[in-house]
Amino acid sequence: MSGLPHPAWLGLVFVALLAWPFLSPNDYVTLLGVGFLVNVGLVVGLNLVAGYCGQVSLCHATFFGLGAYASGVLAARYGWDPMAGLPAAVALASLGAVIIGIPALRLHGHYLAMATLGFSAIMTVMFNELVSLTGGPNGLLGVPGFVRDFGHPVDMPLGQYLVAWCYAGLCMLIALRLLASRTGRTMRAITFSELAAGGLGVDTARVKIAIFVLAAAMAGAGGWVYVHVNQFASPETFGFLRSVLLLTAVAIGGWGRFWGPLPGALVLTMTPEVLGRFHDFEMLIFGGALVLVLLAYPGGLAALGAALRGRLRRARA
Amino acid sequence: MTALLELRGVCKRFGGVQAVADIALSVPPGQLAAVIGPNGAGKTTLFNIIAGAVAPSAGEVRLDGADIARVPMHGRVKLGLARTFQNLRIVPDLSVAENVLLGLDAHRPGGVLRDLLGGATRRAAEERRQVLALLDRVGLAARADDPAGGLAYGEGKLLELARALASAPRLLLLDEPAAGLPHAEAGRMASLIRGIARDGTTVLLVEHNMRLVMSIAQHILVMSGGRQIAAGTPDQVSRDPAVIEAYLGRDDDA
Repeated sequence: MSGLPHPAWLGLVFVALLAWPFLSPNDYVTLLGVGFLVNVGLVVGLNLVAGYCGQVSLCHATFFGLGAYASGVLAARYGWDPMAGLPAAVALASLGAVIIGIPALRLHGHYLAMATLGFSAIMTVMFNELVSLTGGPNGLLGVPGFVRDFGHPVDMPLGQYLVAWCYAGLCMLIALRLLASRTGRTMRAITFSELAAGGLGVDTARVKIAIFVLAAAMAGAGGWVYVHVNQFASPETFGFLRSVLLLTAVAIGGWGRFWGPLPGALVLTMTPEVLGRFHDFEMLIFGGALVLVLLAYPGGLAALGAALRGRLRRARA
Repeated sequence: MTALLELRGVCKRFGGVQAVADIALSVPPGQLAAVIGPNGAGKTTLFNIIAGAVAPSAGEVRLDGADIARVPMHGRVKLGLARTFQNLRIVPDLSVAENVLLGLDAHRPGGVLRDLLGGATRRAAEERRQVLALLDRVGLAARADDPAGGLAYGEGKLLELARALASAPRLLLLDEPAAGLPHAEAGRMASLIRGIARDGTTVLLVEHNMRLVMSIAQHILVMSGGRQIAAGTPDQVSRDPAVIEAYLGRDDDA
């Protein structure tokens, strides 16, 4: 499909990303990279739903949370091995998406936005109130990390980085495969006009639900990475604000742009670092910058990159 | 012989407006049929009822004898129905060839999971051949890899036709295929449609352009105010006083 890179480019970018933990001066910077990679996976999934299918989901962080709590609770309360928690994380997030997506995506219009907004609110209450499982507002403590038995604490950030690297790379690879296939074409047709897609024999509801569930499964896996890296989970991480920020990251990267999640996740990860000193004004500055960027480049940062490449090529010719 | 498309007592009411009232139509296989009428006659609503985009308030829609009133739009494509759109609905982000592939996809099995696991790329060469043959038929083969968003209006109309043909339909529904086309392009569209019908595809078109309809249709249904006011061959309807009145007004009005 137009605008998709050769898979080798994706491989190259991820090989380059492997250098980060070796270049980083300390563990804190390495862990920033982990946060970035988790955000990449989350934004990739949401870009499939919002960017490529044109569906506004406001509970992506909830799926992230379902994955985190599923694996976190099983490991902290029931002694499961972190690795065994991955299928549970993916399954619980997918289940949530099926429950919300099947009724909401059969209808046209803004029903998904409303349904996901409601789901986000309900699950935030659940994360807070199911204290015996989730630890409530105080958070879930005692979640084991990925590499607890190696006995080399120095290796921990590197190991965590590798897990997150695999996660983000796999998400992008899945997205690339999907977008290059017939489903990718179909998604473009749905975004452009559901009527046209239906008229061409596409069961639009089915495709939208499948993509929504796939994105939730990716977010659930992201939650699994997150919870075992931080060894902690608390409700505000998975709240409505985070869902909006993720949607914002899709916009900053560029709706329906394959490379968009990389700059989108970078901005999402770095904003608290850079703007953290402004405390209460952080969101205000972030919002203002967002409006300016999108006014100048409605296609997002990925579109800006494509435009620069084009200009460079013309300049050479 | 059973009709390929059969409408009986089809009605559609939007609130207080009776858009389509008691329409009957029988299109035998291989026929090139047309629905005409002045603006607001209910043609497009009738078209959408047949395509499955609008549910009728009453009546039967039969395809090859089977009642399809409850079959959703996408299901009707699998039963052999294909359509074009009055306002172009080609996907501008995709290439011309990819738009045609969208039509080819209709009859292939599969889903999101199958696409993820692969295997779809094996048929790429065969698909490419089919797509180029379809584009060649409408004269767009040279534009195959251009973005569809860059096509001129008339070329977009031709692409819609190629895309509809890609699903190898038994019944091709054309919603105002010549609307907005300059004279020469409308003539080319007419000969393309005639060729499609001659090759055995049943065609039903809704059209404003009387000259086009009169020159290619074998059977014409004339609607006005949601009702049938005449039906028959082009000769019969063009002589029908009710048709002349609907299009030109009554003598005593003048």
